[in-house]
Parts: sequence; C-alpha cells; structure tokens
Amino acid sequence: MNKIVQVENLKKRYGEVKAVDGVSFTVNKGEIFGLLGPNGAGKTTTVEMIEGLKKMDEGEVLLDGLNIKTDYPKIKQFIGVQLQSNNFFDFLTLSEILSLFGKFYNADINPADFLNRVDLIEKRNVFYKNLSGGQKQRFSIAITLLNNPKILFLDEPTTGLDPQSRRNLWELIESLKKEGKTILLTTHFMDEAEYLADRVAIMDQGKIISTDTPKNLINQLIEKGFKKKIVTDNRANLEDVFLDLTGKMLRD
Amino acid sequence: MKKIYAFTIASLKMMVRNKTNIFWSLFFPLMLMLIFGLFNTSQESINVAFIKGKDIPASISSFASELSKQKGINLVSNETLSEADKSLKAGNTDLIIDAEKNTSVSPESPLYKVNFYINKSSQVYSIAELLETQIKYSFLEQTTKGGNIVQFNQITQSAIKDYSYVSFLTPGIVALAIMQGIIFSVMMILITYREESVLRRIFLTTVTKFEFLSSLSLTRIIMALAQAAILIYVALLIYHVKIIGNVFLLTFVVILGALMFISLGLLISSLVNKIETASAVANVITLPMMFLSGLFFPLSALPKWLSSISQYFPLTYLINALRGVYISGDTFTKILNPILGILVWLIIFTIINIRVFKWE
Repeated sequence: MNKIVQVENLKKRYGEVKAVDGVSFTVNKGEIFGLLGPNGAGKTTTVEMIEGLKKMDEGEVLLDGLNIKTDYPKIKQFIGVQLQSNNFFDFLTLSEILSLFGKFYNADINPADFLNRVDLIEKRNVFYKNLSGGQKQRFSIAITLLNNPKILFLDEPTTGLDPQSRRNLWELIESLKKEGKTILLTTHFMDEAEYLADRVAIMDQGKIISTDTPKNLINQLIEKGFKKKIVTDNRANLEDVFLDLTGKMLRD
Repeated sequence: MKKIYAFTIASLKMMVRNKTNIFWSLFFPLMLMLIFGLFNTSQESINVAFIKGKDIPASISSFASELSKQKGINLVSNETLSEADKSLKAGNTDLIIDAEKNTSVSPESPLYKVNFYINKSSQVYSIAELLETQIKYSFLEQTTKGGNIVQFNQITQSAIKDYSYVSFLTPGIVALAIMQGIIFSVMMILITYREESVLRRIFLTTVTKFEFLSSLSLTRIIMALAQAAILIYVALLIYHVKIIGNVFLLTFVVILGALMFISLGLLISSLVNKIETASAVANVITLPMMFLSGLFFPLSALPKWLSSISQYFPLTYLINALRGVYISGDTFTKILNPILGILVWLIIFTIINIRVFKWE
C-alpha cells in the first residue's frame, strides 16, 4: 500500500498549551482519511502543519515521499488546500478568480471546466461575496483543484451548510475520490465521517486516541457492551426524512 | 513575470470596480480642486501693458485710450519694457504691447515694430491672444494709408511662473490624491487579506512574496499615474493650468512619491490588526499632512515652529517636487532637495517594514 501522507510525532505548543502533542498517522493513496475531534482538539493545527502553513515544533511530515521542511515548493505543486475560513478577492467574478489562481500556478486554465465540476457554471460572472454558504464551499474546492492535486486537504467543508448542500458536497468529495485523489478531511460531524471516510483518526487534547475504519470502531464499541439509549430504526434517520420531504434540490 | 502581470491586471480591475476606492482616490480630489479652484477664477479682466517708444505717431498710440475703454481690459501703466516684463513674469500682466520705431536701416523694412509679449501660463491666455489679433487689425486699419509700415512680432513667454491660486493648488491635489489612494488601498488590502486568510490562500500557490509585493506596487504606481494624468487634464481643461516643466521628470516624481506611500501603507498595515481601527490610524497620519504640507496655503503661512516640522513631512516633499516641475518648470537639479527627502522617507519606511512587516 502506497502511503502518500506520512506524519510522524508531530508537536506544537502555544506557551503552556500543547496544542498538538505527538501525532502520528499515515494516509494511503486514494483513500479518504477523516481527522475527527471536538473543537479545540488540535485538528486544524495538525492539518496546517502538514500543509506547511504552520511551523511544527517537532516531527516529520512526508507528502508523496517529499519532506515538507525541505521540499515545500515542490509539494505545493501537487497539494490542494481548502482553508476553514475561505475568502477571495472582492470585485472579481468567479471566472476571473479561477483564471487568476490558475496563473498563480503558471497555468492557463479554462474556468468553465472547473465551474462545471462544482456546479457553479451559471454563477461564473458573479462576485464571490454574493454566493451562498454552500456555493462558497464548492467554489473553494474548485480553487483547490486548479493544480490537479494528488492530495486534497478539506477543513470542515460542510460546517454551516443545510442538509441539501451537505449531501451535494459529499457527492462532490466522493467524485474526487473516484478520480484517484487522496483526501484528508477534518470534521466534527460523525455522520459525515461515517459516510465519506475510509479510515478515521479521532483526536482529543492534541493526541490521536484511535485510528481505524468507521465500521471497526463501531464494532469495537459494541463488543464492549455498548447499547444505545434510544434505539432508532437503522433504515432511516431524521435527516433522511427531512431530505425526503424537502427534496434533494439545492436551495442556493 | 507572468504571475505579476496577471495579478496586476486583476488588481487594477478590482480597483476600478471598487466605488469607494474610486471616490476617495479620484472624485474627492477632483471635488477639492473644483471647489478650491473657484477661489481665483473670477479674473475677468485682462491686464495689458502698453509701452510707447519714442517717435510713435499718434495714429498708432491713440488705440491705447480706446483699449482702456473696453470692458474687461485693464491698462497697466508701465514705463519701461523691462518693468512690464517683470510684472508679466510675476503673473500680474497678461499682455505687453511694445511699439517702437524700427532701428533697421534697410529702406524696405517697416518704419515701426510692434512686439506682443503674451503670458502663456496666464488663465486668460486665449483672451490675450484674441486681443492681439484684434489690435493687429486695428493697427492695420489706421495705417493703411501709409502702406506696410508696421511689423508685428508675437513673443510668447513660456517658462514663466503661474501664480494663480489654482495652479498653486493643483500639484498639491495631485500629491494628496496619490497619498490617499495608495495609503488606504495598500493598508486595507493587506489587513483584509490577512484577516480573511486571502494572503494564506495566495501563498498556498506557487506565488512568491516578492511577486505579490511587486504586483501590489505596480498596481499602485499605475493607479497613481492615472490619477495624476486625470487631475492634470481636468486642471488644464477647466483652469488652463499647464505643465511647464518636463513631463518625464513629472512622471518620475509621481512614481517616486507612489513608492514612498506604498511603503508607508505597508508600515501602517503592520501596526494595525483590525480593519475598524485601520482607517482611524491612517487618518491620524494623513490629515495633518493634508493641512500642514503647504497644499492649500504656503508653508510660510504657518507658525514658524509648525512649518519647521511640517517641511519634513513626506507629503510636503512630494508637493514641492511636483509643484516645482509642474508649475515652475524646474529641472532635476532644482528639485533635488525634495527628491532626496522622498528617497530618505522611502528608505526609512522600507527599513522599518523589513523589521516589523507581518504576513500573518
């Protein structure tokens, strides 16, 4: 198995606080890897160190065999990063932003190709600030695809979205996986991780406390004798009801 | 290079589409110029000096009394040509008519010579020119009987200082527009880009910090040149303020001034973290300069202790350099002082920037 992301004993402290305290994991090529944890667990700091946005105090990160400390300019060419807070230039249309960012990678891209992929072609002449939350997330994913990256980092991509937009984004992420991209996803929505991730790591207080497939983690819990207090029918949940009643059509 | 070019084009688009930016960097200075320019445009009369040489027949000189009867014409009494010339160079006289007997001995040459000295940078330049033609005809009418006895010469004075208020004001307005436009846009862009992670987003691509700063500066320089061109053109159109000096030197001064304010804008952006406080800080820095840099009134009008400080302001240097080339036709060596002043500020700001500038 080709380990495209290798993280070894990553550490970061802010004063007395150990934000990230010895995190190690690997991501296989072509899988969706979910980094889970409550707010403040250190997910974003961990991911930002892997992306090269934050300096690590200690540790080693290899992306496709290249060391982030020494080969960052090369690494930038094949990673796509979606930031948690996304904002782009005011007063430029989506098409203009895309071609500009294309140029930032020295590439002459056709904005329509990318807008089609994220279902925003009819918004091509609209300013970014006039998009809805879901559209903004989809657009920022389009931006991360400009350099045709091997590894995608998505940081809480569905936070603040309505169920329709969430499902829509999940489908987009799945389609990217089918293209062979490796995706490292951080989220605090368990259903999202269960739906998308091949494997997950659960973080708390700067440490990874468990890594496995979602199914195995659930089975381990049941083996410990866990019983749900309220047993709902497995065949459907409230979100399915909501989507059945309101439809899957995007509202933005 | 390709990245710098693409980013510069995109940034210019953003600036033109940003109405607030256009208002402050173009319409506000334009308004200032139009309003304050009105202070001295009430010059309705044209000042004419008539120098009557020896042996000038009454038929030629009698028109002077006719001239003074015309509305809007002020006959200035000057005894000698050099006296009148001085007054013209000081901007008090618009037209000198100098009639004298031709000293040439050739028998075919006209008996008399009339020289017109026109103040080219006068606000009523075109009226003076019109008057010149009128006078020529009236001369000719009166002297036809005598045949071709008068020779006319037009002498335009080009490098004369224009002392009208609007021409004093315009270079200052250009400098102000450049300062306001650049400081606010550089500062706002950096603070918002930092706060909203746009800078992070940009540097996740293969764009370097050098490329980013180059494009940021290039965009502002182009904007400053456009502002200067528009303001100078409007001043020419409405108030007939002409560029007396070298246009390339003027361009050089604008670029240098733009660089100085770009580095000041970068500096302010490092001192402030929030957009809300940014414009307050920028105002604290730019407002005193606006009123104390000799823009609306000369520095000599300020109390001594104040002007001894404000003569070192960045804006003062830019105004002095611009005014020198634009209005007085100064050469490079004559504006060396303000140029050095601008360079010193540019170096100071750059050194501080290297130490305090923050990307995150």
